[in-house]
Amino acid sequence: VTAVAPALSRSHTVRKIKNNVATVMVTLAFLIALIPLVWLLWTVVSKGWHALTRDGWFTSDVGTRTYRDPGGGALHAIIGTAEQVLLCSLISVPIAVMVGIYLVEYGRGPLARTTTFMVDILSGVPSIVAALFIYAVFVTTLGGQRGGWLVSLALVLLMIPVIVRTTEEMLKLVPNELREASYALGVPKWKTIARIVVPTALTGIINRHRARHRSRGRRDSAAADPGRLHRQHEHQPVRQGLPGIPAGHDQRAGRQPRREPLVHRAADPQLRCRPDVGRGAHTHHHRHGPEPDRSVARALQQDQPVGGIRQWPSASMRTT
Amino acid sequence: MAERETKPGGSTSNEPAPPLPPPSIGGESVEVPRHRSEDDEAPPEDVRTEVQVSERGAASVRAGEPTAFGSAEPFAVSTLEGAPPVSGAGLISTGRPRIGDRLFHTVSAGSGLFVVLLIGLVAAFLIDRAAPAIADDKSNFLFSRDWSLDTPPLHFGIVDLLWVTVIISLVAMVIAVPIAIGIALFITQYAPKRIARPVAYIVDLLAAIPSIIYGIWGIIVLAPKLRSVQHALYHLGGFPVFRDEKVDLGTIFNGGVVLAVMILPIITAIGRDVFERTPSPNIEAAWALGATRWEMIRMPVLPYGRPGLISGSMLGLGHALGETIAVMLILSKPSPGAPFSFSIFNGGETFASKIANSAAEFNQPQQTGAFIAAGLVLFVLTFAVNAAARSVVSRRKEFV
Repeated sequence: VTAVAPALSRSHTVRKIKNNVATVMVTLAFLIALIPLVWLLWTVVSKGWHALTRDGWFTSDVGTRTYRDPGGGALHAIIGTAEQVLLCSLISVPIAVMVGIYLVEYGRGPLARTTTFMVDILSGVPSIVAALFIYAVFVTTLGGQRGGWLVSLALVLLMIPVIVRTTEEMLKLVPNELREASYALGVPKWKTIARIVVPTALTGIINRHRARHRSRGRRDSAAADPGRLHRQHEHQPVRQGLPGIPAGHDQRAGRQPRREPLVHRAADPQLRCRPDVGRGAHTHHHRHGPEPDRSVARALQQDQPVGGIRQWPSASMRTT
Repeated sequence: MAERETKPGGSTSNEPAPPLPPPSIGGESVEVPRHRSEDDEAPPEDVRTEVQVSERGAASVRAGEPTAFGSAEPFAVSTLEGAPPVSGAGLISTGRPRIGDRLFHTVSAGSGLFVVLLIGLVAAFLIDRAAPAIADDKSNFLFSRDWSLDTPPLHFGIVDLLWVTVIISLVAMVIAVPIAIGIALFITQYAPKRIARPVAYIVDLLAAIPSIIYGIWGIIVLAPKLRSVQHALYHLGGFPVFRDEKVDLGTIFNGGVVLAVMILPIITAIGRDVFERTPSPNIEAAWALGATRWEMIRMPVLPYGRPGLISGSMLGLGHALGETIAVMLILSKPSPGAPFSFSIFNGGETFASKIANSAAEFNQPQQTGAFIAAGLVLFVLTFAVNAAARSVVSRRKEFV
């Protein structure tokens, strides 16, 4: 016993030291990450604030001034940005939303697999390659001129994968019971998607579209907040007659196992707010989000009439 | 509840469907199991078996038949007196899907096809434009360091660009991956939940900053401060990458540090995701064996998360390889004809920054073709890295 005890205590000390070192290193890693963020924000604000608050920053443009001349503002840049983003959104939103619908509502078979893969690849395409592609098509091949609208086209390439994934995530949040109830009432599939699935998911899609593409910052400030979606979800049932399904519950788990790699979706910072989609993990949401209201779901299970359920869907939707 | 989940859009009539409950269900309710048990058609055990059968059957039917719309089962039959029965949603009497359904399916599948074609078009156009320039290249495209496009015989090769692109990304990875793993562990294993969420939020905030701001900050603010670090590493010596110090500011090292900050949130997000998914029995087993926290992390958490971390790092690498504007602002251009150097304390140009820097010179198809050829190599590089990251994940899915 006397021979073992010192060895034991030594190994115990070593383990303790290792543990403490690891704790320090891990905490240090976080503090290191904090440095550039604070530093950068401080630089931007301290050096840019006086220009931003000057008269005419938002109302005048640069005109013929060079950067050494006084005066001028960012009006041209603001308008140009708005125009390009608007045009880009007009093109990419319909396409990307349809792709998302296809992947979630119809997607199986080789085309869906290829599409998922290509969306992943598209999200990895560097912006300079997207720009070169547009240049190669419209300027070198078709002999056009450089122009702002071509920028929008290049941005389409960068924007589509972001919206596709957001749409997918949002559509997967829609409880399967809504679809089933709709089919049961004789509503055709396309109408179910257009009138029930998409409107229910819409709140989420729009919220996430605000931080759209890389050049303007890829993340919504709220996107990293896991609680936010739960809160949205709690507010929806009133309008749609959506039973208060626990938000972390993967409604489609029983219907189709998702094939796409979860880690890829997690790679997109905008999707971080739904880390538990597609894997049916409840723990995360219990830890982070506020507890969803289950009273409606409970009422449903007990076959009690719940406000809104009996009126849904509206009579106009039952006729095809 | 289980019964309800077995009746999604796709089930069709050619499966061995269980006998439907009598049409006693109101059009407004689909509480099938309750009514069924009331009617006492079958004992509960049998019901459960039927559910499993129909679940499997439905899945296989759906896999083979993409044009199954809605449900073919008329399980929403009205019982109102005198009202005509409402048929199931999917098929009408002709057996063909409704026109609206066909249209919607075609349009959405067409959008999917469009995305696939888009990638194909990108590759096709880049190759089409790059090929003539590569054919006219008097130097070896892959193994030459020349880049002179001003006079008619074109001389260009990608060795320098490839080296700088790869080494700057590797510098970023070397810095970012350990820190990202540390942060992910801090968030998932160390920090109390109250702190973990703001921490995660702060790290995610790093990705909200546009790259041009990183670039300006990197060259104006950060690079001068990194000068002393650079000197220290230089005097440490030893490795060829630290050997000769060509420039003070705008080195590959500076760019790598900034890129590390930029890819940090990507890798952290994935690290968080995989660490959170470590099976809790494994963690509890480690605790029960008396493991310290670090041992608990080393034994169940890190091995479980390794494939995810690898693929996350590769995604970060893909971003670093393609980063344009920040790298372009930071890196100082070496004078043409300067001897090749392995040093990271040197200026240089990556594929992306070279193309962006020279965008004003795109006036003749041949010159443009040279840059498009460089872009093509970058595209292939990022494609390979992303596809590899994806394959790591899908391999992982098989045994998880």
